[in-house]
Amino acid sequence: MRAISELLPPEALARFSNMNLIARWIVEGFISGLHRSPFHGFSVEFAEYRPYVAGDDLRYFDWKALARSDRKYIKKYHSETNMQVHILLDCSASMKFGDPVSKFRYASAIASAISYLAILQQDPTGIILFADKVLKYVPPKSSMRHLREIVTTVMDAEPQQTTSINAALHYLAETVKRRGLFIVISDFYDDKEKIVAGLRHLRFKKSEVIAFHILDHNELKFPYAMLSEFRDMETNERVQVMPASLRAAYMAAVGGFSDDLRKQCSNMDIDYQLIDTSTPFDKVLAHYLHKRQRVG
Amino acid sequence: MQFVHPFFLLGLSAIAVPVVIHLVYKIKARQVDFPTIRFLREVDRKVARRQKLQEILLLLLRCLTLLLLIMALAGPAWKPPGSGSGGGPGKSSGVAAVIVLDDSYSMALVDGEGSLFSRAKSLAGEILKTMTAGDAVCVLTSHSEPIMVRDPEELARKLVASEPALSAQALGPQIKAALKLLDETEAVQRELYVISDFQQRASELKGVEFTGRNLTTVLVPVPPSRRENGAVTALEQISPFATTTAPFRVRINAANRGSTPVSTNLTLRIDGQTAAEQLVALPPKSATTLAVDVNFEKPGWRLLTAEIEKDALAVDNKRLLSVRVRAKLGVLICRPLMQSGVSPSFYIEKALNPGGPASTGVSLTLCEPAKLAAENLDDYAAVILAESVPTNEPALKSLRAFVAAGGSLVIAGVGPDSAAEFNTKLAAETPGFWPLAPARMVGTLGEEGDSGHTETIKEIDPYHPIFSRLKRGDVQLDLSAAAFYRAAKLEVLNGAGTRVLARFGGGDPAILEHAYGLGRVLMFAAPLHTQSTNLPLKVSFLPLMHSLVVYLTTPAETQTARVGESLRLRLAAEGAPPKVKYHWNGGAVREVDSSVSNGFATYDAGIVNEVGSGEFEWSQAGRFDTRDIAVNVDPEEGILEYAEPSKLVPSAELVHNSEELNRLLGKIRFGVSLSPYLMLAGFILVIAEALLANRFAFVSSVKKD
Repeated sequence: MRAISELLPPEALARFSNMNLIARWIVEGFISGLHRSPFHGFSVEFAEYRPYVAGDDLRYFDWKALARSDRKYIKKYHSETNMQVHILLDCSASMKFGDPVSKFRYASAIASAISYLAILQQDPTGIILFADKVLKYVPPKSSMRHLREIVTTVMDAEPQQTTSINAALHYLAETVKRRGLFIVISDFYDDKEKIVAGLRHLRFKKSEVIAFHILDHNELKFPYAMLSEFRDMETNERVQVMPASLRAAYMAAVGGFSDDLRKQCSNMDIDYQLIDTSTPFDKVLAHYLHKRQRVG
Repeated sequence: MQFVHPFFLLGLSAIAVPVVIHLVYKIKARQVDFPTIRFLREVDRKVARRQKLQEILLLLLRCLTLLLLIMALAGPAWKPPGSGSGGGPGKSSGVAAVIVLDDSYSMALVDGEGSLFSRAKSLAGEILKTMTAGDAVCVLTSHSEPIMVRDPEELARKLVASEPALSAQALGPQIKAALKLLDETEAVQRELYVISDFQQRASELKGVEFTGRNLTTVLVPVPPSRRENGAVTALEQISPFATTTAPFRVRINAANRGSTPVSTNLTLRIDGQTAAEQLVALPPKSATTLAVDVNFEKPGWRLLTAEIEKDALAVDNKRLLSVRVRAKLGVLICRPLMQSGVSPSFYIEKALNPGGPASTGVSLTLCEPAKLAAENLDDYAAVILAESVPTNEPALKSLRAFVAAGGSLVIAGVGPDSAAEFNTKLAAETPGFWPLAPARMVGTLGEEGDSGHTETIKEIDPYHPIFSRLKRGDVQLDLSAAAFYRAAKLEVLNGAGTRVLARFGGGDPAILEHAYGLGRVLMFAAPLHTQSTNLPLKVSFLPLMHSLVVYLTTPAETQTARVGESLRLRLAAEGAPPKVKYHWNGGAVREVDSSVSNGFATYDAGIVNEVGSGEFEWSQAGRFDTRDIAVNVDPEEGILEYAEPSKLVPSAELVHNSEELNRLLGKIRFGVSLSPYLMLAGFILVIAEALLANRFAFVSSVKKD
């Protein structure tokens, strides 16, 4: 079976505009690629038996039924989650960067896919769009209709203004009373101290946090050669440089920033992932799923 | 430090170009929207200072590269302090240079690369090119004056038109003149250049002291690449005189002065008409002698030319000889008329003409002293006074004119009775005239009344032509067997240039000779007949008389001259014309003034610088006469053997070609050339600049909207 990375590579996002559909493709493709259901193993309620077939997970094998009747059954459960999922999507102007797929487009796909996956798992899922402030907040719900609202919100969003993750994080920390899973999707072009302060605020509420640091390949590798004047997409500041001569130093600076952020996140037990927009979606979803399984 | 081409320094303004480019010109940057420039600015802060420094370093490198290249083009040179700086352009007393340009005819040799002289001129031109107006310079040749001029360009223009002379002047005098000239200048630096083929004769330079304050001596040899030269080295008459009645014998020497064999046709011409022709083959560095008999059809001056075919050095291919051809060789014997007995000239007549006139070609004429004035002496080659003394003044005047014009006089003894007359007429020191006789009589040899006294000749001058011609191997003519019974005691006249050819046992002169004008006077102390001596009866008498005639009829003054010498005619002052006519090679006639001194009138036609013949024409005492003088080159100059210049003047710089000369000139005039080093440094800087420019980055500006 072909993986989602083959069926829907990130660069294919440019060809489709329906984010709902994209989210479904991503998730269905992801799920079909898994050997076992992602919806088992959580805090669930028993649903029914079914005959064992070779290859089933032995963890769900009903040994007692085998002992009693000499028949092989697998137990099936309904999920019974109450974990609220909050997706924080960076809508700052810098997220417009990227070719052929902008960082925002890529981040939107991930947000939509995670929302779809979470709602399938009955996790109430909400989304916050932020730039220099919180632009829009969709509170978590677990209905499929709510998924459409999330996707519509994402599709209607337009990257603008500067980045202030701090504001969104503090807002959520104050607004959300329940413990939940916070997924931050951003390029984190904000003051590092403020980012860490905001994330710490969330962790203080015992919430789990996943930080997806989205960067375009050109931001990471800085492949420019000719003398160029770079315009900051958020501040409009300009700088004229000979990229070739700065490449190494620039990559070191970006790498240093990312490593520092990873270290700070690690200290706060936050799952940090640096995602290149060329990274296949299933890899990102796997990160999420892994975290979701860990937090139960 | 000085610059060979200082005008290139104007290019230093080009250094402003990279500076202006650096300040003004900006590469148009591509516009790129980027998520954040925070990292770029962070990096910029870290590297901006370094990049600015790199940028300035690159600018400096570019400026320095331009500076070095422009300076290299300007030809900088460094001279150690105190080594006599050239003073630089425009300083009138900076450089004084004398170029001794060898223009002897050996420089006319043509090899595969043209003539040696054209090469020498080219090298001299190279030297002059390095001089500037105001520098003192002189190009010294055999015919130029040792005068410094301050216009090298004009000198270079004159040099182009100059041609090698036909002279064979040695370099020594020219170099001494050059050193003197340099020593007299006030220049800071003195330079002596000697451009020559440095033939072996240049070894005389070893004796020249090349010393002087700040003197640089440079020898520039221009040897030929091929040494091919045949030459006619001599054309001489063997016959003592030329007449239309007897064959005239000449000796021709042909030589191969080169290092390759020569086979050529030798032609002898009389007045341009071929008289004889012969093929000669000469191995390298060899010579051959040919004796050729020619017949003259008519009397007068005839020009003989011996010539070989044209070769690399054509100047010495021919030689000329002017010969005076007489209808006959007349000898006038003046003797007293004897009523009885043997004539005082009897034995002389017999000796000179033993078989009649046809046997020797000598035509004898006898006359008395009183009738001497009536004789036309121009018809005779020699006059013999046999125991006779002319007493009348016209005869004496005619005799003096005859000898002064080149005639020969033999005083064959004077009787004791004529001593007083002799001393008065022939040996008197008349104011304005030399005495015609070389000595005067002061008595007779032997004791008074000693009739048995005899004298014998004990001593002869073996090197005199009369006696050397009679020498057979190492055996000299023996005159000691002859006894002289009656001989005059002679006293040599002071200042007459008398040469004693033979002496008696007591030391008294027996035979004397002195020059008078162009002629010679020979005097015997005793009459040549048996009453005075038994010499006429001796075996040696006949050859002695023949040798005497040969000697006396050979022109006393050579009829040839060398290129570079003055052509002069000397006549007795008495009756000499104030002017004579002169023409060269049959060209335009001009008059030459006389200059009288010591009883002679000298007519100087000036220095002759080419090969040919000059002819003088004059009338003296109503008598018209001519004299031709052939002018030849010095045959020694054609010897193609060369000295080693480095051994001639060990202290001198030695260059062999134009490149070496220019290098040395740059070193002398400006010092050691720094151009190669600057070019190398510039090249290294170009590479360094390219490497650094590739490596360095530069953030030129940060703008904020």
